[in-house]
Amino acid sequence: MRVLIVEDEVLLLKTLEFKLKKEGYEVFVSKNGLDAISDIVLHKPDFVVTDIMMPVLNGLEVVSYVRNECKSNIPVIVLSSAKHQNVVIQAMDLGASDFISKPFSPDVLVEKIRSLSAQFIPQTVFA
Amino acid sequence: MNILLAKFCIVLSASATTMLVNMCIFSSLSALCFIGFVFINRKYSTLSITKDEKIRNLTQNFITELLFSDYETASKIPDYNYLFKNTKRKQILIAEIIKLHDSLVGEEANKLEAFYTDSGLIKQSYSKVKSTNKDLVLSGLGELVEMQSHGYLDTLETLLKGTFDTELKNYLVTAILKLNPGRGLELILNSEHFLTDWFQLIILKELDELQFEDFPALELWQAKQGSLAVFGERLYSYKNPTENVFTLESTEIIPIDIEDTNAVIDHSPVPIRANSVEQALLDIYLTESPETQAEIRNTLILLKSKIKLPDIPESQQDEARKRLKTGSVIQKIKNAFKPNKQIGLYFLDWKNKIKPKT
Repeated sequence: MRVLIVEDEVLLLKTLEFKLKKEGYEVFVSKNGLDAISDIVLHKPDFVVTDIMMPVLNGLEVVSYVRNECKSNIPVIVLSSAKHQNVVIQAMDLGASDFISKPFSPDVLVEKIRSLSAQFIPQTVFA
Repeated sequence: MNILLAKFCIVLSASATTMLVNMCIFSSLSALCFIGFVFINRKYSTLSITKDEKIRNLTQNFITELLFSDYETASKIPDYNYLFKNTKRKQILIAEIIKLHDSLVGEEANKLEAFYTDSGLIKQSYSKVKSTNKDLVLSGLGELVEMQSHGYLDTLETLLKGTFDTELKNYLVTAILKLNPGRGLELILNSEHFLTDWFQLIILKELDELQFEDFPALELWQAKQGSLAVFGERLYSYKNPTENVFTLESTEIIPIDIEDTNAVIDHSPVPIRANSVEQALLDIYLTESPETQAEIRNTLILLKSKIKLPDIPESQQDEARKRLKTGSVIQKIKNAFKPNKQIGLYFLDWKNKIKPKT
């Protein structure tokens, strides 16, 4: 399964990439929302994990792109600090599948990916 | 006579030519020196940035390796000695560890804490706490607290007892409180330290975030005088918030960054009464930037203030709006084009398709 991680904190990005690769996922990484859009087009991931507060394009715009532009129902998890509750609500309104509050354990992320993937029935394939 | 005059003219013109040539050589050499200086300077700063970037990359790879192996294995990584060679590199290592620790909990966070202590990085943070520079002290305390360095509680307590600096005392009390709230409260109770309203609010906010409620008995606080007795009352009334528990004086609230102020007020575990803050905010409202004016409006909403703010003059409003709009559009386009022109164009095309945000 192809997972795209979008996170501007490089070390956290590397940590999550390492963890998910160890769990057997094919992982792609983007350091901001704009790179994520090109990576979504290029790699057609089965799962997106995105931070919300990022430079260039933020996580809300990534969620909006996946749902409105790609018309895709692939699971999208948003990562956010507990301080930004309103932004998380906005992300859920835009169609995010779930959210994880920072600080979090990478094991929780793996668990969420597993459970959401199990429930996921693809309806739209990326054009 | 004529011959003598001619000779004199020739000598004069020769010396003038020599002088001109000398001046030309001098100017050329100066120009060359300047170009050389600029070139070396630029090359040096580029090299320095590249070197910092290299250290950061090595640090990040090292920490990732560390998280998914053990300390023994990580200490055998060839870059280990390189990263621990001097204070600057160790500081980069600490900064990266702290940043990652802030986002993680569980096994990985515990590994980072163990590494921070076992590798001796903790000593570097502590040396900052002993510095005379307040920014360094605050940064060192922040590192010790973030990495849950309970082993340094006694040392922090000794430092607290040995200082007369109120600001430093507040930093140390807050750090101890975050590491061990019970011990922090005991220290406050027995320190006879004057607690401003703002500092009391900070303490309550910390206790609230830690969900700590095992306070020293109310009678112990009541036996105290002044701000300690007031704080004791507030500590107990915080469990059952009553109206107008806190009154913040403008002298305490205004010098603090308005965004931080709003964050604390927003998350305050007790209601805050605006009191004289209203007038102080009103006084500065029209002279502040549009961003600060917006924050001031937020502060008054958070404080449930009924005060009416003056209207911002139309000209100031238009100018600010125009500046903000142009600035953000240019920045977005610049950012969009920077990484990849093709994607930038695609992005703009996509942005044009979506509805404008209201």
